[in-house]
Amino acid sequence: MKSTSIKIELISDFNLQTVANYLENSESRPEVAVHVAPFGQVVPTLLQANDVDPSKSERSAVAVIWTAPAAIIPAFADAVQSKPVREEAMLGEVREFARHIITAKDRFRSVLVCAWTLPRWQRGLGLLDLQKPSGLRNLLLKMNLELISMLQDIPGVYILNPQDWIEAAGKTANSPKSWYLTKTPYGAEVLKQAAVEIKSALRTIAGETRKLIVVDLDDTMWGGVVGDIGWENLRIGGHDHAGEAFVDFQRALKSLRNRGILLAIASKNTESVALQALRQHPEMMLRPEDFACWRINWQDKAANIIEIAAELRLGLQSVVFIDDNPVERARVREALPEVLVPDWPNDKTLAASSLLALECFDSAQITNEDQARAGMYADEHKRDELKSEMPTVEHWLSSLQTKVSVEELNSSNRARVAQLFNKTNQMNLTTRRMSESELVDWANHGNRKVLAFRVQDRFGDSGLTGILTLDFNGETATIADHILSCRVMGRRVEETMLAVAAEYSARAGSEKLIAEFIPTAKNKPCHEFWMRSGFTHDAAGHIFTWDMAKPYARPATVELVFAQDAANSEEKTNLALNPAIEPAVIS
Amino acid sequence: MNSTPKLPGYEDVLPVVYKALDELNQQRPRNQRLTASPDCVLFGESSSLNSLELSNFIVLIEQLVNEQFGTEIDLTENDPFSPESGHMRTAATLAAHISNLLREQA
Repeated sequence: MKSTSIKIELISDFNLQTVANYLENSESRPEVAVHVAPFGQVVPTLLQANDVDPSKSERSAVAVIWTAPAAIIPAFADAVQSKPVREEAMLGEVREFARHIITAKDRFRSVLVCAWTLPRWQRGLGLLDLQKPSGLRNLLLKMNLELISMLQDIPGVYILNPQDWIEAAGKTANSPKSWYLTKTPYGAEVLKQAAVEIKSALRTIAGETRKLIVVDLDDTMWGGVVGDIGWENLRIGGHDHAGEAFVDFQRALKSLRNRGILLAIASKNTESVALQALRQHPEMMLRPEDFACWRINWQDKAANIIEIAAELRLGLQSVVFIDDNPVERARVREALPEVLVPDWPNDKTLAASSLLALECFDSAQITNEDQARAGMYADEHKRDELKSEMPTVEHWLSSLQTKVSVEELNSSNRARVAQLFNKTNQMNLTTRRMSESELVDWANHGNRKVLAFRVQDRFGDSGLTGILTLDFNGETATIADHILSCRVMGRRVEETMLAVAAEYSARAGSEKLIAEFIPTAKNKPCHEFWMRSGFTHDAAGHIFTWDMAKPYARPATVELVFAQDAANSEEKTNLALNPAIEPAVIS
Repeated sequence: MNSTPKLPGYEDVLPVVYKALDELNQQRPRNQRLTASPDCVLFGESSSLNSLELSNFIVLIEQLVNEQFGTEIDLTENDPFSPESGHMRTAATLAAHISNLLREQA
């Protein structure tokens, strides 16, 4: 087992050794090391997990809990035997099972819980099975909803849907022969699909989410070459199967944009001609304002994608490139291996479903910042325009009227804080990755602070975009994490965060404030900032120190406010007037 | 003129056995994967398949035979693992056994 492998504990009332084999031997990331708990021992395994002191356990494993409904919920087993079942008693058993999971969660980094399914051959009441309260499918729907409602707000718990794997596997999905030979009720295809989805979930939890779609225009967004036939003759909408499919593809892009995925264009076209089509065609679902930026020219698309990512301050690992032309796809794959370039169907009616089937946009949390992201980039364009009009950078910074609000980690912001922790690469001191529950645990041990920073200015609210964590230990305060979204870099928010760190350290009686920079392939911008931060540093430029005998000046162009807590966010107190700030205990 | 459909023979079945081996290999470490060849040992001395893998292989090949030839076969009948029958010994013996089963059921 490699030290970088993620440990997985498979907990089931049937034999999941084959899933373990698929997980360990598939070449997709991440590498995993799997332990299969004895099957049929689900509740004892969960109870055993409860006996482990969470503060002493490694909490490094991800648990996958996959059960058969009749094996884990006795009332449902009665229903399968056509015995009368009291629905409330059955749901009570579901709640008890969910409580075991919630308690056992403390031992695990994350828990993936599979929803319950029935084999297709189990017809229950047949025609009436979904409709009647005693129907197996009727009961199973209620059980799944009860389980989901119990678990949906538990940090680090995610619900998987095996019904999708069963549908993907087709008629061999449920295999009585597998059950009798191996005590696994599913055929190999379902088990393989389960392994694929578990790995996908692990990548999503680790924050490996793509943030930007760069899309071609001709024969990708619409049918035809606009430069040849004019925007009036493009195939888009109308009574035409391909035209309707292009509309649906644009609609799918728009739905992803509404979820916070940015859209950009890389097209070999004359810019004015292409933009005219986007603006004037009556059936176009996407308009120029839906795109964060574009490169419509005759240059190499790989070069254009590099420029687009730089303009949006995103790494190439955030980019998906969609183009109908296999030559362009091959060129971008070869030149930019970090960019995801999915194969694209020749059949245009498959475009929307191909886009929506991509798992790279999955997110472990959905935050307000995600949903507002596309609008935030429009605000960024306005800032850049203003910058070009101002005589100096200081003039520009003053005119922005930047306001930074500081708040402690709390139940309303921790999902976003965890997301930022796991997604930020460029302005990240240590690139430490932690799940939401690990972060809460870290904050609750020792004398520590987790501070979240919200940034807004005259152009808009960038939301929660910064994290500072402090560890106070005697005379030394350590900045354990200094994380800032690239969207707000260069607006003196970085320096403001250090000023806040110094003020907290002064109140804690620290004599020096230190930070250790851990280099990665992507956090060079962070190192450049720290080298000009005013902190002294060692010869290698990795250990940075501030002597607390002198104050660290707050930037004059930033207004700093401290929010007492998220529940009372309207009551904001200036830090200077709030001298007694105690380390937070997060519940 | 109507002609009687040709019954699947050994040459038709062997690729199906290989396909099942390919599928099974995805469950095994890269350095322990089986090479698809007639003398690939499935069961008995020098076989590297454990009982779970052998069971999975049987289910896989029954499904593939059904998909390919439209016929249900049961490889667990008539003591297929006995040294006397030797049906499951290698890819070749299994392909021959399956083609015989398909003929019997035709």
